[in-house]
Amino acid sequence: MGYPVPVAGFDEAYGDAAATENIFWCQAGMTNLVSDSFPTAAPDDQRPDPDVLLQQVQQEEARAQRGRLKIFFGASAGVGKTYAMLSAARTAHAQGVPLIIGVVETHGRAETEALAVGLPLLPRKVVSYRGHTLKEFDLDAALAFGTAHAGGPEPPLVLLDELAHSNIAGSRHPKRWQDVEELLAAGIDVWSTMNVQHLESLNDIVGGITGIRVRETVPDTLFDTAEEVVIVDLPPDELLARLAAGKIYIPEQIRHAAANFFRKGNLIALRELALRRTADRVDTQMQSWRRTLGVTDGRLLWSTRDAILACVGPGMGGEAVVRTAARLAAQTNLPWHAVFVDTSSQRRVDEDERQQALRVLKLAQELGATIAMPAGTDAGEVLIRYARENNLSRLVLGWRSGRRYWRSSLIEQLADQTPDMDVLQVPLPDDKRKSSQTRRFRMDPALVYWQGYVIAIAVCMLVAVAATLLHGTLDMTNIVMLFLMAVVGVALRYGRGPAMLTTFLGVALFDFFFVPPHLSFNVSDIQYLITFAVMLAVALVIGQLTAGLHSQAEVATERERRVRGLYQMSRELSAALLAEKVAEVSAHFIATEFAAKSALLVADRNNQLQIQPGASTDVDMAVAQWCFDKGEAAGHGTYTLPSCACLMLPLKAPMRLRGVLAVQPVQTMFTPEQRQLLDTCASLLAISLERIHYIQVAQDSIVQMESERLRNSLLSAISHDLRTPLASLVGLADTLNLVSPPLPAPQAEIAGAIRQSARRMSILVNNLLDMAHLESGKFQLHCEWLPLEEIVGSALAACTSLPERHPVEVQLAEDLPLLYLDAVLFERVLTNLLENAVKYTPAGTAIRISAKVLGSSVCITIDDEGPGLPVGREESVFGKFERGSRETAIHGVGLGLAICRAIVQVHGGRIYGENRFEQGHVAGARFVIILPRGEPPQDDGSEAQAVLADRDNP
Amino acid sequence: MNEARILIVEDETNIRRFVRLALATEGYEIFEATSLPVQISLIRLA
Repeated sequence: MGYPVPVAGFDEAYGDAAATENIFWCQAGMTNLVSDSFPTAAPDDQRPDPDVLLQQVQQEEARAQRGRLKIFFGASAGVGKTYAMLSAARTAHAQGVPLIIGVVETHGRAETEALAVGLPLLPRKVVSYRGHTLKEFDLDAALAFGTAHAGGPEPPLVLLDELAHSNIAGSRHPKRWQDVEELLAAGIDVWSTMNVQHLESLNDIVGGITGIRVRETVPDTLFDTAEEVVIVDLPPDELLARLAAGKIYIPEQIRHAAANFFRKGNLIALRELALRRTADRVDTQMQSWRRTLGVTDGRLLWSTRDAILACVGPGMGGEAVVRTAARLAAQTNLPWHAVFVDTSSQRRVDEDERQQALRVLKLAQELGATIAMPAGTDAGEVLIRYARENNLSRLVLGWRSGRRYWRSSLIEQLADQTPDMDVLQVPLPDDKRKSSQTRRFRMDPALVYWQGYVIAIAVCMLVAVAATLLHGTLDMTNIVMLFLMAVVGVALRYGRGPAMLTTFLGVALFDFFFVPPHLSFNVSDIQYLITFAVMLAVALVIGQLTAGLHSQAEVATERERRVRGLYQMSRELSAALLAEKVAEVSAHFIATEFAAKSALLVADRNNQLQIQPGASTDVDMAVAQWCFDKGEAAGHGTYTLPSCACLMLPLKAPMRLRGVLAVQPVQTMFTPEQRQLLDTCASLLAISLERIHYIQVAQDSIVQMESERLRNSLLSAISHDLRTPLASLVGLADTLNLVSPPLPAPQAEIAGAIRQSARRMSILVNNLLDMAHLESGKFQLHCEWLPLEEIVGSALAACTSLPERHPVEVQLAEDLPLLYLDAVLFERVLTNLLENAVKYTPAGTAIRISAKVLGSSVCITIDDEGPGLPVGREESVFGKFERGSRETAIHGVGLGLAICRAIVQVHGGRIYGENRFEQGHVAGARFVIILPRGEPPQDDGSEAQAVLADRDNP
Repeated sequence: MNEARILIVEDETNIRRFVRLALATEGYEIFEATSLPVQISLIRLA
């Protein structure tokens, strides 16, 4: 990265004691509000507009999450900004703010270096560029530092000298201020330094004062939205004294330029600019403060009616207009637009100027303008329409003395048609030399133009020859007609220039060959002069009209083709059911529309980008991931990682980001209209991808529902058919004991075993049936108000194997209310839990059942002293067919807890399992059931009667 | 011998069988049927 203009190369490093400096801490003492984005509102009353206030609150919230930017601002190099920043940093460091020096240029000044000693320094990233090894600011390391220190009492702070610095090619962002933006977005505070000459909108003014243009600039919006601007001021005399004493670092190669720069007049002017710009900033803060308080002197401080429109375009002025508009907008705190009217006549003729205008438009966008490229044939009309549509009442146009006639008429036309709008004229520098250069340059490469002119000459010759041959038979008037026809033909095919040539050549040939005296330009009859004049005028008009019509038709065709392409694409996309098909459609569209290579990356379930098949370009996954994470365009032609070959566009669908479209332009950057088309294409793709996603989701859920339904019906069918034979099996085994004569001992034992196995199996089948029944939804609770003791008692009685294996302890709180429960089902819950305890805990260990009231709910816990639940699967044991450990000798299919959960849930409660810890070891499992307490009826006897009656008639 | 007579109506043969056996050991007089019409005719016969 060279320094194209000398002054950019030296920034100060100045290390004298700060005793003689005047440092003004210019701080508004309040949140600075964004000055250029207030919404449209012009209420007549004095109350603050609620929308404005809401937006301010939102901005403040957004701001609270962002990092804060503090700029140390100086009039010129050498005033001691770095010194001031480091001094402040030392104080902050002493107060415990987690800070790190990203980049500080001390230029070898011992005093400044001494200040930096002791402050943590971020190691620079070593980058090799064209054989040189350079040390650059390590953005990722700074972000990592921010992440590491996030969440502390003080936000992390990064010191980054020289805000206007350009990063070397191949960095993530071309400019350091973009690095700063990313740091701020990540919630990291940044302190930085800059000079007034680096402010974008003042750039040309400073250039005018000092005669040196600085290429490295910082957008005004960043400066205006900075949390704090600290002016580092030094009177010019002292600065000059310091320069004379050699205390300002200036590289050897720019000493000459520096001598011109450091003149007292320059320094005074720069100082005034810096102070004034900061004063403007404070003024803006004052205004927004007044707006928040609603103190508006009876009227709002601005209304959108005054918004500014800068007109950019060939002949309407470029940079100067945009900068003027930007300054005007900043001073008056108004929103502004910049438009480039793409008139069809400019499409072919002024391609270079058009490119220039597009660059200017980009500059306007950087300066904070809303940009647009309306198209039309008449610039004035389009401008007025745009201004009216967008409520813009101040037009800023460039004006150049003594240039073409129609240009000034544009201003007159605007002034005539818009008496309600102000038209501001910005005098443009005379750039005839430059434009003639470009014109000559432009002639060369355009082979088509040469062809056009050659053919124009050839056509004229041909017509002349044909007319000569037919001279005897043809009238003079008809010969004129032939020449006019040639003009129309050439204009139609080759445009304006060749048509003009044909016109003049035609008149000349007509005069030379056909008007007596022949073969001479002399004219015998004065009448012919009128013929020439009329012929010339008519031919010119026809030529102009035809060429204009032709290019308009071309524009229309082009536009129609584009719209048709989009239409075609959207139709194909609407039929797409797979992401692969979307990728194919997108690749096809981009190939035909832009002749560019492309790739479609779709985010999968885990938000990982997957390249879809059919990609024709290599994709840098890091750039794509960045684009996807930030939701911003990246790569070629953007501010982020512009060295990447592809332009990455995020696919933003209504719900979320769906992927990234990577487009590799063939040679140059995309023009704004191509970008617009690409953006449209990207949003179409995004919507299609989202649609496909939801189709997938819908299909999945249908499949899931179906399988659930199938399983449930299968379960109930199987369960029912199994139940009956099992019941008879159990019954028959039971009866074996009853028959007389009694069975001998061995047979009785076998009968007992059959009975036990059959009973166990019937429990399993009952579980299955219950589960299917509970899940079928056709399920009714028979709830009553019951004391919990009753249910616990019957559950304990049902677990026949329990008392002989485990001591059971029941602790029910005295104040337990009645609970509204289905007794049968809830007994199942307790039985299942107790049976689990029996199954999974060693014999002899205690089981505790306790219950107590917790606010509006009742909490029942069942503790055991077994091995506990498998760690990490405390929740999944409640799933269907889930068991604590996969392979086990303990019988069961894993439905017990699933049934418990289903039953507790239909009671409006919840159940969960956890491990009890004692002294860091698992002491056993605990199951907790939480039931809503409800409102038990008052016991006045009648209710009890009703309950009793209920029980009698179930 | 118990005075009461019991009619078992059950379509599953095996279930009917063990119920009959169990009741018979208690000394009841047992009638069996697989469905309702048969049951009524049996009662009338008795």
